[in-house]
Amino acid sequence: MQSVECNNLTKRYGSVYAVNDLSFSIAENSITGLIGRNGAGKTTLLKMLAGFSLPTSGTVNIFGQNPFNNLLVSANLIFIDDEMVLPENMNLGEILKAAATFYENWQAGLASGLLDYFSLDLCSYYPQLSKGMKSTFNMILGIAARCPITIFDEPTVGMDAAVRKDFYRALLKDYLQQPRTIILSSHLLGEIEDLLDNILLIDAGEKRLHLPMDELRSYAVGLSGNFKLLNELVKKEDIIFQQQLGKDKIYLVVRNRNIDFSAAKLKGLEISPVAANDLCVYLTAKHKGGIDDVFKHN
Amino acid sequence: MYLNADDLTPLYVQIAQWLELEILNGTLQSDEKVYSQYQLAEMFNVNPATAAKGLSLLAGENLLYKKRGLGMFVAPQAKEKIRAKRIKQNLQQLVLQVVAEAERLQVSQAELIAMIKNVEPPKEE
Amino acid sequence: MSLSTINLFTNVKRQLNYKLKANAGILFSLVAVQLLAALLSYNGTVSIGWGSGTSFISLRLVSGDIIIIFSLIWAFTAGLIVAANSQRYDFVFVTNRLSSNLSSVAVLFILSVGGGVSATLCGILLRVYLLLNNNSISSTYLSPYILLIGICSAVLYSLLFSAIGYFLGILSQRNKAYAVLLPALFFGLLFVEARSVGSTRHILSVIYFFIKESSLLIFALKILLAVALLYSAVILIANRMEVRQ
Repeated sequence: MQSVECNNLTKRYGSVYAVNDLSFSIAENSITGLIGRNGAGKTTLLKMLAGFSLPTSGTVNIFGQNPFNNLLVSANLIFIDDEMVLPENMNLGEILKAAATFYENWQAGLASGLLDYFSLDLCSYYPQLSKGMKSTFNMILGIAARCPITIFDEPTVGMDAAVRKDFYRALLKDYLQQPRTIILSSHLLGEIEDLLDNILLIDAGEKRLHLPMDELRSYAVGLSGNFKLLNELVKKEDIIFQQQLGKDKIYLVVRNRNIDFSAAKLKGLEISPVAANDLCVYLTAKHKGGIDDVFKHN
Repeated sequence: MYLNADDLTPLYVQIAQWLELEILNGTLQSDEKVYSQYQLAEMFNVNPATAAKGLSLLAGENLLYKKRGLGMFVAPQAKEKIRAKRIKQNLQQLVLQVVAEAERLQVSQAELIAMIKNVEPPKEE
Repeated sequence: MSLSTINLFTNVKRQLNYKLKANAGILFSLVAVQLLAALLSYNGTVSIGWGSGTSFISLRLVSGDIIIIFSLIWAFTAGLIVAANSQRYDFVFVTNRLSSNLSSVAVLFILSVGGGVSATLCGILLRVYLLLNNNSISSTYLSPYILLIGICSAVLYSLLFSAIGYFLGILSQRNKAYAVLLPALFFGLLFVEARSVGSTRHILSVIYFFIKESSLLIFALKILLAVALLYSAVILIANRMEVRQ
């Protein structure tokens, strides 16, 4: 069953297309990473999924329903982001108690256990927390609610490395106990890639890739060697990234198709895998040569 | 337990390799139940689908077999098969590399053999 | 994983609980506002003095009017604050627009009852204080019937003022321009009306429509109808609003 389905989804602010003609679907009980650079349209997309904002055109379906202003979807979907505003006159303990009344699957024990582990005081107030502690508290809300769809938008903002690592492990452990549909957005794939079933890479509001993680790892290969030899072997449209290495050597990242690997090896070219995170960076870069391009022209 | 994130070997292959080691060193015996995908996911901090893929990789090589509703079990002779496979794939590759490096460094065959003899095998943990 | 079913009424009840806690600050401000009003009232709303030679007569008219007026301003502000808070806090947890508005109505209803009752009682407190200081001749006796009418009308006025506040609060969330336009329109009309006479005084006639009503029952009906109209308009307006733009 599909939990999330989008067809030609578009959101326009003035003349800017924040999300442009996105179509994809997410299967029930899977973890999807929504990856994109800052301003790629991740938050805009997630807000439409959560039913917070209306598409300019196209459709969103959550459990087969339009999520906008929809109570059933709201009861079964939690959206966690760092713009969340919580009552300033309720302490963390009171907020958790309030949350417990709203969510049928709420895990009170887990929530207080996590609060304790991350040294958050039940009696402290949300506005007094540091940015990282706010993120930690939001994350606890998101995990303990156990909603069939759980959306985290850049959940680790301000968290230190140790807390981030603990957070992802807590998320995985709770997912193993109660599988659900989780969408995690991040501009960094590296720290979440092990958790993911699928990756949805967007750039300038458009879909670049939507693949199972394993396929992403074999999506491209790195080739390095003589400039001329590589040009003969590789089609121009397959080049994702290129970097000059010394006088006549070049490193290319190319689509893993139509490549004669044995011929490449015979010609003395080096073949290497490309890390998923690097690949995402290359795929969403405006210039095939990366930052080096800027310096070449000046 | 954490997998090597810098290693570009796919995670499910790393999990399969770890299970092979467990069978090789006798931690997992023939016809013994193997960890479930969920246990593996927790142990390695990975998505359970990835762990399942590691298991099915071994099942595809007939190193594991499935009992319906009970999970995966170590196939009889799995240990021997893994040993044979690893000698063929890993060890010979490694030897090839060692010989190639020795040639580059102009180390004679006799010297190389002496070096290998002097290496103390790592103690089992 | 199976979906949780949800019923609008159940959710409104949960939200009411949550929002009463989240808006508790408004109740504290009520106490402060009414204490201040009582202090101001003590000096009298009207004070006249005669003096000739050795004798001097001073007349002070002390009434609970200021307390009521302050409480109505408070009710209006409460409407504005609940509107702002419902936009900020409701959508963190389970809600839709209808559920959010209905629970706000319930919160404002409870606050209005509290505000209206305490305003009237505060007026009585003032009478008691004057009586104990016994240098005043006043109609300190209030029949229970008059007291009841006082409470009812104070509560009804609070309901109306909080509904107006809530309406304006939601409207200005829809578009920030309303936050400037509507007060400008209101005061502009006031100026225009001050210069004109007779049938062109719309605002005045609207106010008279309520305050000149002598029957409590019809008065209550008028207020409740106006409140219902305001909230229906809010529900219609809010229905297509986006969250946290």
